[in-house]
Amino acid sequence: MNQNHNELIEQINSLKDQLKKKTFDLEERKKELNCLYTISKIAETENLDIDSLMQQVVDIIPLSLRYPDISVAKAVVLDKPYENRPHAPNQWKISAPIVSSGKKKGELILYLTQEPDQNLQKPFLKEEQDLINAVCERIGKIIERIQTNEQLKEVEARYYRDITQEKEKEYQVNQEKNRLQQENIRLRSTIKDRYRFQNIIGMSPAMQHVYDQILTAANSDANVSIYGESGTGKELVARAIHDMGPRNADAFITINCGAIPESLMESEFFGYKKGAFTGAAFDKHGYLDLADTGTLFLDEIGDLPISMQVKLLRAIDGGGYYPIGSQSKHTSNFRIVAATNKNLKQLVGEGFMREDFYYRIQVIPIFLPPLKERKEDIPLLVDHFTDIYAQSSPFKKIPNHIAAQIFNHDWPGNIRELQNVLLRFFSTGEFEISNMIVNPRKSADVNRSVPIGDNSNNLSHTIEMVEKEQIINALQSTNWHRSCAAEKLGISRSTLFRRMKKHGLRLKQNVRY
Amino acid sequence: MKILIVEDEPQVVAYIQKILEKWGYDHQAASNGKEALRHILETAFDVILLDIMLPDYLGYDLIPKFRQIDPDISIITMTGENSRELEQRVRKEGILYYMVKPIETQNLKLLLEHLCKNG
Repeated sequence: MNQNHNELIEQINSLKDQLKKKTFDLEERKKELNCLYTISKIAETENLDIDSLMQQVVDIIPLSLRYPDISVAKAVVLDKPYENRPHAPNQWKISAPIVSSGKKKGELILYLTQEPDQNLQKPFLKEEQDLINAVCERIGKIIERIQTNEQLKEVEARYYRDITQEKEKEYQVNQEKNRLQQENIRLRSTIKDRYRFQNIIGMSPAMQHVYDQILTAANSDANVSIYGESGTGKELVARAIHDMGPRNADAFITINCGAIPESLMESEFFGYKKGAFTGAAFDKHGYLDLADTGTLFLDEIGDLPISMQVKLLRAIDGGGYYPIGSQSKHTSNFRIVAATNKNLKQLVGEGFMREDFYYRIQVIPIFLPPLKERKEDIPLLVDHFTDIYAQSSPFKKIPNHIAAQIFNHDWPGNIRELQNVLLRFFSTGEFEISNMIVNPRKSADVNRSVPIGDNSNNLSHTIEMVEKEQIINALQSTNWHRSCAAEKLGISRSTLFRRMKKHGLRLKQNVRY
Repeated sequence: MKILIVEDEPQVVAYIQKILEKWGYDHQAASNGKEALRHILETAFDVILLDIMLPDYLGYDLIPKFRQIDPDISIITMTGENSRELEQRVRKEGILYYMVKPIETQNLKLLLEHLCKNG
């Protein structure tokens, strides 16, 4: 009987041990499952990065081991170390590799900080090795997923950056296009309000009409004739036509037909070959050669001799021309803008201009009004010249009583005359229009003019006034070339100089700024 | 008629002075742009004989400055080279005559005579 009792007790104890062991095992299994489950949870974190993943892994693994208090988990991933607590490596360890995308990216190592129970042969269980194998496999997949996400984000960012740049460029180009279109519309539609056009100044209705005509001429390649009194700005109009048209990048050749001696006309217009005559030392370019694809501005076209008109007409009609001494015909694609202060039709009537030439050069006629017909532009012009001349002058502006006279004057010499009068004023302080002498430094009542035909009975005084007016007229008609004026008056230069001095007619001499 | 010679080569200046004397014209000389501007500020000239290659300026850059002081002045340019592009550039400023050295003596005489007659 006793033997059965002992056997039973032994059996019970054995079963108790087994149960204990099984319970222990279950606990371990539970910890392992918890560990894997937790890692899975970590993997679901949004924006998970490798640092955060690995640090959490090494922190939770020891808790799942048999001896949590003396276990250390350490990992190295992509050369970066992680550990749940610092510890020097020793021989009580197990490890597993972390493989991701087919490559070894790191390692997970478990250590025991002290020798475990001497009864055990190994520091860690087989189950613990299995655990970290499973953990590493899981980590490997998570790392792969994280790295792929990062690459994708980079590509996306780059793609969006490129798109944004392209879109920005496109946007800017469109903006610029819109701006230019607006400006174009504005320029064309508000031309009525312009007080200035290229270098031409004027806001009067007459000038607005001129601006319209300039635009029309600029949009055409037809020959233009500009009609206007001396000094109305015909050259400025010609330049504006050139600058606003398709030839603006090419040559603009200005010729004053009245200033070229007739004997030089042909060689000047057509050029010559070296050796064509005595003194022809090289091949000279003629005006037509120079103006090829550009604009030929013929000022004072009324002064062009008939012989030249014939030859020029031939060239205009595509017949070409021959430089002097050359057998080869030259052709040139030039556009003519002509200007004159004369009545060309009258010249045709008087035989000074050929009718066919007349019609060929004035396909587009433009009329520049005299200054007296646009007096509202005078203040603008005065401002313009004051801006230029006052800079280097002791005088900074036009005094009011002079401004009134400027406005009231008819300006037979138009803007050129106004310009010269203002230039003289700012240079010398003297204000001089035709036969009126005004000195701004003297008081106003001394500046009374004494026109010819006054009630004065003083003969010598009248004679002096006549002489003064004659001298001024001669000077003005010869562009203040004093030698030529003297010749015109039939007196010597020295006599003229003396008379000028007597009348206080000084030019820009002896002025130092 | 008063003529200003703007030229830095002394032989050229001497030659021009000789022929101007012969024809009876008043003349002065400047050897660079700055000097020329000074002359024009002080004296009223009718014609400028202007060398393009000056030590301190290119002739065509001087022309607008001359015109600002004297809008009616006539300009005859002189240059040693016969370049179409240079002539186009110079003529853009508006000149009376484009002379290629050596000095076209006869042509210059005709030009000056014509200028004097017609102002």
